[in-house]
Amino acid sequence: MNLTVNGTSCPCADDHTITDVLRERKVDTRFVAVALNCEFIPRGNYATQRLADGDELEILTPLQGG
Amino acid sequence: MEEHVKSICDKDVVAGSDGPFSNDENWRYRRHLTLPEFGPEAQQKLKRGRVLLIGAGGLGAPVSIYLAAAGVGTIGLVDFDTVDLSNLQRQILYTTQDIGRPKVQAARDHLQALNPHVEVQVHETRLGRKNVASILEGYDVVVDGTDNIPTRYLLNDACVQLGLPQVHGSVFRFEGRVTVFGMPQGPCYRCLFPDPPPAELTPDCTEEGVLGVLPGLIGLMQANETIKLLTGIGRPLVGRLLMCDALSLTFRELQVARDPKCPVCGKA
Repeated sequence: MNLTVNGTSCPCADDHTITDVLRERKVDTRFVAVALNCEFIPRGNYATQRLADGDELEILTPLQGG
Repeated sequence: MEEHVKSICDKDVVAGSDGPFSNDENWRYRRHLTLPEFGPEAQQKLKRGRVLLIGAGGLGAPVSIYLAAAGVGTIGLVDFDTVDLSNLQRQILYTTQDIGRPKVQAARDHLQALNPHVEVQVHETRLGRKNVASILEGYDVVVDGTDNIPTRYLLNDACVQLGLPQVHGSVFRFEGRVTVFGMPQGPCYRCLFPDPPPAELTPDCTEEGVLGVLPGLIGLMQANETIKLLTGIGRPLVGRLLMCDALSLTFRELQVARDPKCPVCGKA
């Protein structure tokens, strides 16, 4: 299946969770916020939230600039 | 969510207690006064409004210009820095003649020249744990235009504690974000990012750059939200993070819920 992650389309194994995607990308889950289809997902649900073909993920870190 | 839309300044509004606007104000704010759903009542709320801008830089400059022009009665500015030549690519509040001057002093001069009806309060200091509560006291809305992560967390925590809404803006390269934190039932900054990330995960604009107009775009949206909070008009950006990509000029709105387990506002 395919996901769109931060605006870029990429292949993803079936049944992957948010945690799986973050692990593959070596992202430290403590310092990101993840939105699935435009809705932020509580951190505690990353491991159980399965992804489906066509899902859009935004993986955000804080921007500090002002 | 309707409760959130209620004006923050409603508590202070007593019809006629301030008398009418001066002739100068009536003419100056004419486009507001004739604007349906705005009018004298909303203008009066702006006049009674007290807004504190944290940072008088890329975001603070456009926010302060538009809030002063709009007639926000009291604008507080917190910044410890001086104007540098490299600021002028985006910090349009300052001119070449201001280089070397403390930002808050140059800002006060320009804002009062723009609108003498506005009181500009300057706090020429770095926001820290010891002074944050005393600086924030008495303001209705806080605008976060800081340029560093530790101050954003410090500010968030203090605003939650004091029950103050924060109009958040942040920029990096070609990307910007805006939202409103700290409203009743809405999320705070820590609902989104509970813990500050290490410095290597958050490069800053000094090293990586920022498109000059981007803080203008984001800052004006912060000014827009501030005016809505003060006047109670419209639907504020509560629980919605608006992201802007200046290169494609696209906007995305992401829904942010309040986290009942938030280390800061979860207990509030």
